[in-house]
Amino acid sequence: MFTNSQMRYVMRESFGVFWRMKGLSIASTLIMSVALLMLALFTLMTINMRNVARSLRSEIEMDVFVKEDMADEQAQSLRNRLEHMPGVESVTFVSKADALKEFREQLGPDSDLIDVLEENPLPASMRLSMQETHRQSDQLAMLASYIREQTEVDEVRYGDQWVSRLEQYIRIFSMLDVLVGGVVLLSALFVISNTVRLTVMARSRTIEIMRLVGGTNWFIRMPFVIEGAVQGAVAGAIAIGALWVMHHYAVRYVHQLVFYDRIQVIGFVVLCSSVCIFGAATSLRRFLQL
Amino acid sequence: MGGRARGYGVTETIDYMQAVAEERHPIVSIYHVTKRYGRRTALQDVTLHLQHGEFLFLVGSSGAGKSTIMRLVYMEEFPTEGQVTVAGFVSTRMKRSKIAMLRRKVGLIFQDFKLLEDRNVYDNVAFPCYVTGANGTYIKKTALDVISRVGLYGKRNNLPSELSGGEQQRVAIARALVNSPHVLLADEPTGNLDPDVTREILKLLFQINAAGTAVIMATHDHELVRKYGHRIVHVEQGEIVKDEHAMGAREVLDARRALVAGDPGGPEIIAPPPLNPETGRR
Repeated sequence: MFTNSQMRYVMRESFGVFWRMKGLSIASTLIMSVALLMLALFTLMTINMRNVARSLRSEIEMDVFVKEDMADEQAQSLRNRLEHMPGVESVTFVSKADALKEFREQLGPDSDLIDVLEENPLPASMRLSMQETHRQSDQLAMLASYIREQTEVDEVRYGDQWVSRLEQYIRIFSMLDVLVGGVVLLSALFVISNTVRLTVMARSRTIEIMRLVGGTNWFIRMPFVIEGAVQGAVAGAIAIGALWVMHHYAVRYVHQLVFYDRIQVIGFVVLCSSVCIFGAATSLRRFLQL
Repeated sequence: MGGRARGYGVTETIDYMQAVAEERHPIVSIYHVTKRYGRRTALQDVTLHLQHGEFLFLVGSSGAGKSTIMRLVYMEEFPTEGQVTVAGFVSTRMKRSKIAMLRRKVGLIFQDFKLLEDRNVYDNVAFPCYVTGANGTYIKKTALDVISRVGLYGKRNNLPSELSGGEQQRVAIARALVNSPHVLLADEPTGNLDPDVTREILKLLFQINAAGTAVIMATHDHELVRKYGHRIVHVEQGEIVKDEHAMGAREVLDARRALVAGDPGGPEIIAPPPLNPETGRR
């Protein structure tokens, strides 16, 4: 598409301008980094909050208490049926003795209270852990009511109030997240596109002269595209770097906080770069009279 | 890039080359052109031809339509009606992507010089060469050559801000020349310059013309153009009201050569009598 000298020229122009207009370039890159930092920070917070929600949801279990006088075969057949019910990941049998042991552990230092009891009052149960896709409260309620109909079953508990409250919080949080996320994203795009437009406008004379001396639109666009790509990537990298430092300190206080993995970091930088290229190309349209 | 390199379509190239061979087509041809901006009519049925190697002053007060004619020639604007043909490019058949190719055949000079303030003289002059994709050695040689021709070799590393107005206009002229254009368009090139510098710039334009490049210079200075006896086209309110001293291209060329070769201060040249419109002879 371009001859060697044109290519050399384009490269020199792309990076030369960055240097020639140091002040403007540095300022605009930093402004972009701040906007991108906000975006990256928000996204990371979302990821972490979702992790918290997921780990809370993973604690959702269903206890199926069986009747006192149940024979082993009956228990086994119930267990088989439970295992094949939709959404059930695994079934653990908790015998009366196990239940007492767990209770003792929960009581801790007060566990000697139990010794007062003459017999073990705790019933045996089947503990169901649920598949990730079947942890919604309505699904759980349906499953529970179905299990209750089984003859061997005395009682089903899964903390239904707790689950529905958790769900409510997650719903509100997700809505707020989308709303605030949208605002953050739009402001970031707004800041970036305006910053890019300013850097393009600062060189409107160069563009005009290039057109007058016979530069093709692609030739005129190329330095801006390359510059935009580099500037976007640098701004994205600065934002990610700053966020990493913040995360590095925050993780001392909250150990579970995760950071972006390598692919996400690369994706973010590439995205920043693309946004800047797009911004530069659209800002140029006006000057190139397309 | 090959055959496409200089941007002519095959048909246009053949038309144009035949025309040149037969000396039939002018280098610039504005044919019954009307240009309107909304309701305002900037040009009304203008017809004007410029021969290869001709020098033409386009005279009129500001707002008369001179700049519009110029813009039509370098195809920054297109006619509302009529047709403009420049170096084989036809406005009615022009694709946007071809405009860049046309601009490489047309040198442009403006009142405000339009130099890149952050680049030195050499870079400003070499700028159009990079655009066309010439090779590095050629660019250097040509740019330095043109800079010498406008007398700025010693200042090739200076920034425009370090030059006088006249020198800046010379840089602009050098930049316009560097791609060996067929026609040079100068829109009020001396508008910001004092009389002495104006004369220098004019002389430079005459020299360029003497070397064979056709030149159109737009100006509002009636007095200035009278002195040199070139073809003068008067534009008023979007119409051509008078076309003086319409000499043959060859005669103009000879006259220019005489001026350039002779006393550089330049006695005025007596123009040959105008053509008889009926016979086409003097």
